[in-house]
Amino acid sequence: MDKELLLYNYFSNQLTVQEEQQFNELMKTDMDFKKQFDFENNLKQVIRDKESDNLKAKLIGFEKEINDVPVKTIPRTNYRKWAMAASVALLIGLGWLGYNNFSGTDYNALYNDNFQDYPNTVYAITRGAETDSSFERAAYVAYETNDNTKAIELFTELKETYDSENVSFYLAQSYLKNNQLGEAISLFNEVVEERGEFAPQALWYLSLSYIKDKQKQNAIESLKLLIADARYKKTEAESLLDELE
Amino acid sequence: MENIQAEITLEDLRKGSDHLLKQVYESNRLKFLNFARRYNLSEEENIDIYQDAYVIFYNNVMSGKLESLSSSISTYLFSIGKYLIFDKMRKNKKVVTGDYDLSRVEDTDEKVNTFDMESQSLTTEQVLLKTHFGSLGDKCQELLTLFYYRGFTIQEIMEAKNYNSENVVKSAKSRCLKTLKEKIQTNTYS
Repeated sequence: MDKELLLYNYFSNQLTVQEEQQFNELMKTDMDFKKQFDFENNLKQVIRDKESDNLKAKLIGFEKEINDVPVKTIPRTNYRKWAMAASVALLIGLGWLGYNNFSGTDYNALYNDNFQDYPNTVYAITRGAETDSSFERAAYVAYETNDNTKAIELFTELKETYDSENVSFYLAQSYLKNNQLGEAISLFNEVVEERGEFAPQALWYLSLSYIKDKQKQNAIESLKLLIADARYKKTEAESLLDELE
Repeated sequence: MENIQAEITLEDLRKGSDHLLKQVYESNRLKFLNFARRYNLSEEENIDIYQDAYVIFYNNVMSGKLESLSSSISTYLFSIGKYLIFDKMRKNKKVVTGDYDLSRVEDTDEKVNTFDMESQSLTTEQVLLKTHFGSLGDKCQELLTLFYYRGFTIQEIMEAKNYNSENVVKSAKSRCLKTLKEKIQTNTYS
């Protein structure tokens, strides 16, 4: 029996079952064999310990490099100023490129393809009622005739005296048509939160406002809510969501 | 990063180039730290644990305890890391709230339950051995490390290090062990 081979196979993880029996037997009966095994086994642990120390030192080095990077890459001469300017220019350039090309989204086209005036479904403007000189009538007339500035003015006044979901919704529409996106978005949100009759419509126009304002993530989220709601423009919302994503 | 990692094999890991070590370290670091943050240890402790988990993972690759990469490297690092975090919390005697159940820590994830987790501190005899090992020639240290740590066979050592035959490797190994023994004896009995 080759004792050296047994030890070799043990340390190479390739003892056969039979060899393992012989190995165990020798460990009990042969003191020299056990002594040699202990020596090699100790050596194995010592090397492992040493290698662990080495690896840990390397990792600490990697960690230090990660933390040192910003300091290392900025030279201390006048080049620094230029380097910074160049980086900023590059960032803006890349950002602009990414915005326009890589994202592959033409927000204006998406908006134009999908936006349609929401009809006045609230206030019946009929000939017979021409004598009605109320703010409300005037506001809806302005809305229907696309006189957005006037519509905004009138709906705002109405909102102060007679705040309702309808007024908020049509005021938001007027803001959107007048390209005042911030105001439109906040009002549409208001309507959505009221969870009334116009909530799904408001979600659709809110999504369009976000698209026009290039707020992709918000647009995606409100479209998802609209699809889940399923009461209004579900198919259109789904295809718009596809294009955005 | 994910794709790069998917291509890393056990063989690559065993070769252990510094470039690869760094790549694996960096590509799993943030994910690990984000995962560890929920346990309320300090950021330094988390980094220390990440490094220890990495060392343990590597040692088990080298010792052949990990026979195949059945999951991504990060899965192994997370499992080992979790064990180390809980171990540290036990040692710190941190108050444990209902969020994490320490009793479950004993059964570590299946994937790593055969791993050697503890880095046992060396006995006096081993410390001495370590000193003498460090005083061996570079060739001897390299050869013994390839065999006892990296799990290279005699034939693999012959091929990797351009020895003329397996017998040359075997006798070189025996000579290195003999020198090491002599160093210890001289030191012990002089």
